Amino acid sequence: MMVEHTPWLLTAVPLLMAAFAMLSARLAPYLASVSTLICGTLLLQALEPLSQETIIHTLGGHAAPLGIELYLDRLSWMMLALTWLGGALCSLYAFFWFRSTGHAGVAGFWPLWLGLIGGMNALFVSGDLFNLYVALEVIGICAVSLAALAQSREAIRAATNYLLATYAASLAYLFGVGILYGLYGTMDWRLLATLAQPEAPALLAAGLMIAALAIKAALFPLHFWLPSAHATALPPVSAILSALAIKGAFYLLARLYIQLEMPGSLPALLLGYLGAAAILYGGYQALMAHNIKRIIAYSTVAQSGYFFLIFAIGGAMAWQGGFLQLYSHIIAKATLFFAVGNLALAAGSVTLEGIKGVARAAPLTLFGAAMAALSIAGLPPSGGFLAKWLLLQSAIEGGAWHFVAVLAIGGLLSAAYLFKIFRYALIEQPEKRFNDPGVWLGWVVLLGGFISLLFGFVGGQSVAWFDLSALSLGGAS
Amino acid sequence: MSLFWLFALSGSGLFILGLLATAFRTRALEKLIALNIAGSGVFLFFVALAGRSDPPDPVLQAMVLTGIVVSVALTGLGALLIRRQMTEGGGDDG
Amino acid sequence: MGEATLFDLLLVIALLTTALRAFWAKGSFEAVFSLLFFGFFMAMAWMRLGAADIALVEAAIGAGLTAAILMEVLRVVGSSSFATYRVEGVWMLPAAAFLGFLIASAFRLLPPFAAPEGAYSATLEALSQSAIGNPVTAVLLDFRSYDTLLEVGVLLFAAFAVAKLSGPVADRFEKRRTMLSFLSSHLAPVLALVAGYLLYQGMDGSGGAFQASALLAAAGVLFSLSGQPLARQEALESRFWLMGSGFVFFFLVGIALALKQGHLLAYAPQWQSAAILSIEIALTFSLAYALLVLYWRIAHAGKAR
Repeated sequence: MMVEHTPWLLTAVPLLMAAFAMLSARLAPYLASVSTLICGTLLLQALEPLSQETIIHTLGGHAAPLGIELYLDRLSWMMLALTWLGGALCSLYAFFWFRSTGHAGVAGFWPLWLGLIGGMNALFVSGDLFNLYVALEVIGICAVSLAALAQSREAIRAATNYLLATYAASLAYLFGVGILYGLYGTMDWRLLATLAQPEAPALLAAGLMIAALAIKAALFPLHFWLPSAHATALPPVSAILSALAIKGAFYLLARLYIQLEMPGSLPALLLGYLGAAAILYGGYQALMAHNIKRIIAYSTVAQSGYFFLIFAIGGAMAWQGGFLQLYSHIIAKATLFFAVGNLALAAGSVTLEGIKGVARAAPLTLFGAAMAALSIAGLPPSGGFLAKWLLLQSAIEGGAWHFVAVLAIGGLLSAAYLFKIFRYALIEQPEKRFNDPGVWLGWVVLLGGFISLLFGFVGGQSVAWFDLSALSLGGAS
Repeated sequence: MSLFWLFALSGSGLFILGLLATAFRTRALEKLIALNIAGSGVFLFFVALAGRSDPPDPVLQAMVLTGIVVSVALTGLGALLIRRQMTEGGGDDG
Repeated sequence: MGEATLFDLLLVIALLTTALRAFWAKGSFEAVFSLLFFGFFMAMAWMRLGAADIALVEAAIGAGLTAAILMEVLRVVGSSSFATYRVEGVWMLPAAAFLGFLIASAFRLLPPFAAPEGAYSATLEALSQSAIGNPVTAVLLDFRSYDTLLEVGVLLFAAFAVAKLSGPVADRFEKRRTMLSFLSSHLAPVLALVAGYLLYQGMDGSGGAFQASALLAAAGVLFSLSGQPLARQEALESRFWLMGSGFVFFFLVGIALALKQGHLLAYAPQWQSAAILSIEIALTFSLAYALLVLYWRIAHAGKAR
C-alpha cells in the first residue's frame, strides 16, 4: 500500500518539483499545480487509515535511536491539510497576480514557494529534533528569499533582519537539541518523552528551544522582524509568510508542550501571558498604522497571540479553540493580504489616503475581504468567531478573567483596525481614476472569504476529530 | 579540568558572546559575523560532547557537518542581501 | 577523553581572543579578518578533538569560502573605522551572564559519557555490520541520510535564491597578473586533485562528499581570483541543472530504494557501497557548484535596473 509512504512523499513531491521548477520559469506554475494535486490526493488517502492509527515511516529502515522516524497523526494531518488548502489558495492568487503585473520576481517565486511547502510538510511529520532543525532551515531560507523578491531597498533590508533573527533562533534551537542529546542520547521525541526528566540541563534545553521557536513564530516581544518583512514583500508572498510560514514554529511549540508534558509550568504560563500582550500590542499598532499592508502585518502579531493563550488557559476546549484559530487565520489572513494586493493594484498606493474610494474599482475584492475580516475580528458566522468563542468559554470556566478581558479588548481592536480600511475604501471619490485589478484576482479573494466563513460551520467537527483527549493538555476540564 | 569541560564551556561562551555581539553591533555585516562565531560555539559544544566517548560519537560529528553547510548557506544569503542593500538606490517603491 | 593540556588552554584562549576581537572590532574589515583567524583556530580545535572530517570542512568553508564571500561584500560595503554599537538593551548583559551561569551549572549534570542505549551505541553496533568504514559517512549517507538530503536542499535553495536575487551580473572582471593569480591558477588544479582523493577515500578513511566539495569550491574561488577567461565566463552563468542534480539524484535513488525495499533510502546490502558512492559523486559536484554560485553571484552582484 501507498499509505505508509505518505509522510515522506508529502515532502518529496514539492521539493522535487521545486528543483525542476528552477529549470523553467514557464513550466513552474504547472509543476506547482501537479505538486498540489498529488499532495491533495495523498492527504485524502491517508484520512481513512488515520482514524485507526498513526502512520509511521522508518526512514532507511533504521528505527530510532539509530535512524529517523516520521510520524503522521491526526494533529499533523490537520496541519498538513490546512497548509495544503492555504497553499493552494496562495498559488492560485500568485499565478494571477504575476500574470497581471508581470513582476520580475516570478523567476524566483515558484521554486522557493514549493521549497517552503516541502519544508513545512517535512516539519509536520518529523519525529526527530535534529531533522526538525534542518526542516526549519529549509523553511527559513525559502521564506527569507521570498520576502526579498520584491527587490526594493526596504524589502531587502527587512529580509536581512528576518534572516538575522531566524539565524540566531536556529542556533539557540540547535544548542538545545545538543544538550538533550548529550543527556539522553537520542533526538527522537517519542523516546525523549519517555526518558526526559525535569532536571536542570533538560529545562535549560527546553528554554532555549522555546525561545528560539518564539522568535520564529513572532511571539511578542520577539516579533520585531515580522511587520517590516511581511509589509514590504510582494502581495502573494506576504500572504504566504503571514498565513503559513510562521505556523510551523507554533506547531512545534505545541508539540513540545504535549510531548514534554508542560501543562501549568512556568514557561507555558509565560507563553500565554506574552500571547495576551501580543493581542493588545499588535492590535494597538495595527490601529495606529497608515499603511494597509502594515495594518494587516501587525494584525498577524495580534492574531498569533491567540494561539499562545492555550498554553496558559489549558484544557481540551481551549486547545480546540486555539487550533481552530490557527486554521481560520491561515485562510482569513491569506485572503486579507490578497485583498490588500488587489487594492494596491487598483489604487496604486498602500496608504489609507491612497485607497480612498477604491471600493468602486474592486467590489469583489472588498466583498471577499469583508468575509475574511469577520473571521479576524471574531464575528459570527466565521471560523474565527467559533475559535474565539471556545477560548472565551474555557477562560470563563477556568475563572481566568484577565484573559476574558484580553479577548474582549482584542476583538474590539481588530474590528476597529479592519473597519478603518473599509471606511477609507468606501469614501466616495467620483473624480478619482483607478486601475482594474482584473476579475480573476477578485474571484480568488471571494473564494478565500467564502472558505473562511465556511469554517464557522464545519470548524467545530474538524477540530473535534483530532481527538485531543488522548494528549495531556492540563487545564480545568 | 577535562578536555570535554574546557571545550564545552568555551563553546557555550562563544555562543552567548556571539548572540550578545549580534544584538549590540549595529551593522548587518558585523551581526552576520557574530552569528557565524556563535554558530561555531554551538558546534564546538557538539564536538566536545562527541569526544566524551571513545571512539568519538559520529552522530554528533555528522550533525556538525550538516550545521556548517546550513550555516554557510545562511551566511551566503545574508551576505548577498547586505550587498544588495548597499548597491540599491534609495528608491522607496512598494 | 583526557585532561586538558597547556596546548588546549592556549587554543581556547586564541579562540576567545579572535572572537572577542571580531565582536569589538573597530570596523567591518577588522571583524572579517578576525573571523578568518577564528576559523583557523577552530579547525585546529576540531583536530584536537579527533574530528578530522570536520576540520577539513571548517578550514575550506568556515575559514575559506565564508571569509572570501564576506571580503567581496566588504569591497562594496566599505569599512567604517568607527565602532558602532547600540546603546540601549543593556539589560541583555545581566541576562546573558545569567544564561552563562545556567549553562555552566547545568553542564555539571551532563553525564561524562554517551548515554547508554542511545544513538551512539546503536550506531557503533550498526557500523560493525556496515560495508562503510568511515562512521561519519555512514551516519550522513545511511543512518541519518534524510537529514543530509534536506540539508542539500537548504544549500540548493540558498544558491538558487542568491542567483535570482543578485540582480544583473556586471562583467567587471579585470585581468590581474599578479603573484596571486599565478599561484591560484596553479594551486587550483592541485586542490581539485586532492578533492578527488578525499571523495574516494571517504568511504573508509577521513573525507567524503562534503570535504571534497568544500575543497573543490575553494579551488574554484582561487581559480576565479586568477582572472582566467574561463573563470570569468563561468561566473556569469548559473547552471541550475548542475546545482540541483545532486539533490534530485539523491532523492530519486532514495525513492527507487523505497519502491524496492519499502523504506526511503533503505539500501540493500549488495547495493549499498555502489549506491552511496554514486550519491557521493553526484553530491560532490553539485554541492561544490552551489557553493561557488554563492561566491560568484555575491562577488559580481550588480545594480538592479
